[in-house]
Amino acid sequence: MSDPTTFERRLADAFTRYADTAVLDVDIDEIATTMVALTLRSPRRDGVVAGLASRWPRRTLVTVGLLVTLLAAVLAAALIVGSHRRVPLPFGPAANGLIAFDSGGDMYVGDPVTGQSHLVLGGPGTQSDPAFSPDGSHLALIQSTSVSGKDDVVVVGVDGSNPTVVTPRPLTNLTWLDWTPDSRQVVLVAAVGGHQGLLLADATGAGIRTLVNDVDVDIPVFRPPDGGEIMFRADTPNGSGIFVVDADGSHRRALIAPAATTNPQFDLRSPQYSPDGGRIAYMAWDDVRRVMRIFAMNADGSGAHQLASDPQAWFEGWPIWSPDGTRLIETRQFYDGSGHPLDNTRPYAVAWVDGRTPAVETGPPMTTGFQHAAWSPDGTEILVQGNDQQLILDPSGGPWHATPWTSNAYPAWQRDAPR
Amino acid sequence: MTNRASDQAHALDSIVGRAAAGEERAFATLVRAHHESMLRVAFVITGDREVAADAVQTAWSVAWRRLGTLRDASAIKTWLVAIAANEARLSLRRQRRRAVVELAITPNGDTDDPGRRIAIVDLQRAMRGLSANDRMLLALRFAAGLESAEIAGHLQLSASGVRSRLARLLERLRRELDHV
Repeated sequence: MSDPTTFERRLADAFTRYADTAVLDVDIDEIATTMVALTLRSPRRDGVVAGLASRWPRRTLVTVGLLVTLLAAVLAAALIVGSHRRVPLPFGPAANGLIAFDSGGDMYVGDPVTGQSHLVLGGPGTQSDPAFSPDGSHLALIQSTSVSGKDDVVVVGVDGSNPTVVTPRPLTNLTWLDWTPDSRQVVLVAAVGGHQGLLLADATGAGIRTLVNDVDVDIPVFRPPDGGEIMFRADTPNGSGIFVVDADGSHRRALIAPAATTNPQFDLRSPQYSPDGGRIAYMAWDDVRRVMRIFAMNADGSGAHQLASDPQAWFEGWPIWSPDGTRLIETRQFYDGSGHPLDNTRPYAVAWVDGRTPAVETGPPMTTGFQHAAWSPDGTEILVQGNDQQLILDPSGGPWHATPWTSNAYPAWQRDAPR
Repeated sequence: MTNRASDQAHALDSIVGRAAAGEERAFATLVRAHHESMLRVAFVITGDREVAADAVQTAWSVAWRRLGTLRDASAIKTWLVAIAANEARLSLRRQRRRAVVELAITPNGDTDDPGRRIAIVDLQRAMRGLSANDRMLLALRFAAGLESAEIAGHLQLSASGVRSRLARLLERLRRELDHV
C-alpha cells in the first residue's frame, strides 16, 4: 500500500473525477432559468399569513383574535358536551382526508379535491417524511436541523398545533417512521446498539424505548386488527429473514428463516399484512432465474405461493394491499432483449389477489424515482411520488393527474371517519 | 481588507441580499456560481445523477426560503453546499423502498495510467458500503474541498472530531482501494 499522504492525494483525484461525471452535459444557463422559475416565481406558501398581518392594524387583529378565541371556546364546549369526534378504524377502508407533503423544507397538508393547502410546520431545519396517525389527528415527521446526520421526530396536530419533539435526543440513521395502531406511539427504525433497531416513542414526548437492537430491522408493520404483533424483515449474520415479535418486543420468531441470497439488498423486503391480518404479501428474489417476484402466505408463515406475474418483468415487488384486501399495487421493472433495464416504462400495476383477474397497468411511463405508492383510504385512487411530483392514479388503469402542489414527499394520505 | 477584497465582499453581499429580496438576476447569478459544486457533492453522496439533481433542486428551494437568515455572505458557498449535502442525505432515506438500478459509471479517463489511479468504479463501490453520514463527510471534504473547520461548523462537531472521523474513513478506503 502507498503511504497515507500519497493515498489521500490519489483519493482526492479519484473523487474529483467521480464528481465530474455529475456535471457532464450540464447547461448552467438553462439550469439557472429553471431554478429561478421553480423558486422565485412560485408563491411562498406562508404568504397568506404574512399578507394578513401586514394589511390589518395590530389593534384590530387583537380584537378579532379575542372574538375568534371566545367563539372557538363556545364551539369547543358545545362539541365536548354534544359528541366525541368520530375517528376511523386503524385498518381497512376509511374516507379520504388530506395529503401531507413537504416543500422547500417545510411540511404542508393539502386537499386533493379543492387544491387548498396550508403550512403545518416550518421554521429552521428541514421537515420531511410525514406519516398520519391512524386516527387522522396528528402527523409524525422527521426534522433535520443540521447536516450532522442526526434527526428528531416531531409530532404535530394536522392543523399545526402543539408540535412536540418526541425523541429525547437526535437519532442517527433514522430510516423509518410510522404509528402504532392506537395512534399513541411512533415506531422508529434508527441506529441503536450497533444495529438498525426498532424503537417506540411516546407521541406526547414522554419517552422512548427500544424493542429490538440485535439485528438490522427494516420497515416494521403492525398486524391487524389489534396490532398485537409486529412483523419486519431483518438482516442477520445468516442472511435476511422475515420475523414477528409481540407488540412489546418479546417472543421473536421467524416466519421465513434467514438465508443467503445473491440480492441481499432487496430480497424479502417490506412484507405487508392484509387489512384483516390473515395473510402476508412479500417479495422474494429467485437466485436461479434472477428475478424478483411477489408471494403470499398465511400470517403464521404457512401456505406460501407465488402470485401471477408478467414474464417480461425482471422485478415485481413492493406489494401494497388495497384497504379492502382484494388487490395489490406492485412495482415493476423490465429488461430489454440484451439484458439491460428498460427505462420509461409503466412501473405500476394493480393485481387482484384472487389470481384469476389479469393485473392492470396504471399511470404514465416513468423514468426513475416514481416507486413509492399508497392507496387512498377509500381504495379508489393511488398516490405515487417521485421526481418532485406527486401523481394520483386510477387503480383501474384510467386517467391520472398530478396533485395541485409540487413535492416529492413520501406518500401519506389521511384516514378520515366514514361520512 | 484591501480595497479590491472589500469591493468583492460588498458585491457578494449585494448579490445575496438582492437574491434574498427576490431579484431574479441575482438569484440566477448564485445558481450559475454554485450549482455545479452542489451537484458534485450531492452526486458523491447519492451515487445517482438523477437523484442528485432532484436533491439539488430541492436544496435551491430550501436555500431561497432561508437566504435571509444567512449572516455572512462570504460563507454562501459552504452554506449552499451543506444544504445540498443534507438534501442528498435525505434523498437516500427517501429511496429506502426503491429498487435501485445501479448503472455502471463510464470510466472518466481511468485508462490513463491505470496503475496509479483509483478507478471510479472501485470508488463508487466503496462509497456504497458507507453510511450516508460518512459519504456526506467525504463529499464535503473531497468533492466540495471544504476544510475540517468548515465541515465541523455544519456537522456540529469539533474540527478535531472531523479530522479523526476522516482519518478513520481514509484508512478504511485505503485498505479497500489501495491495491498498488
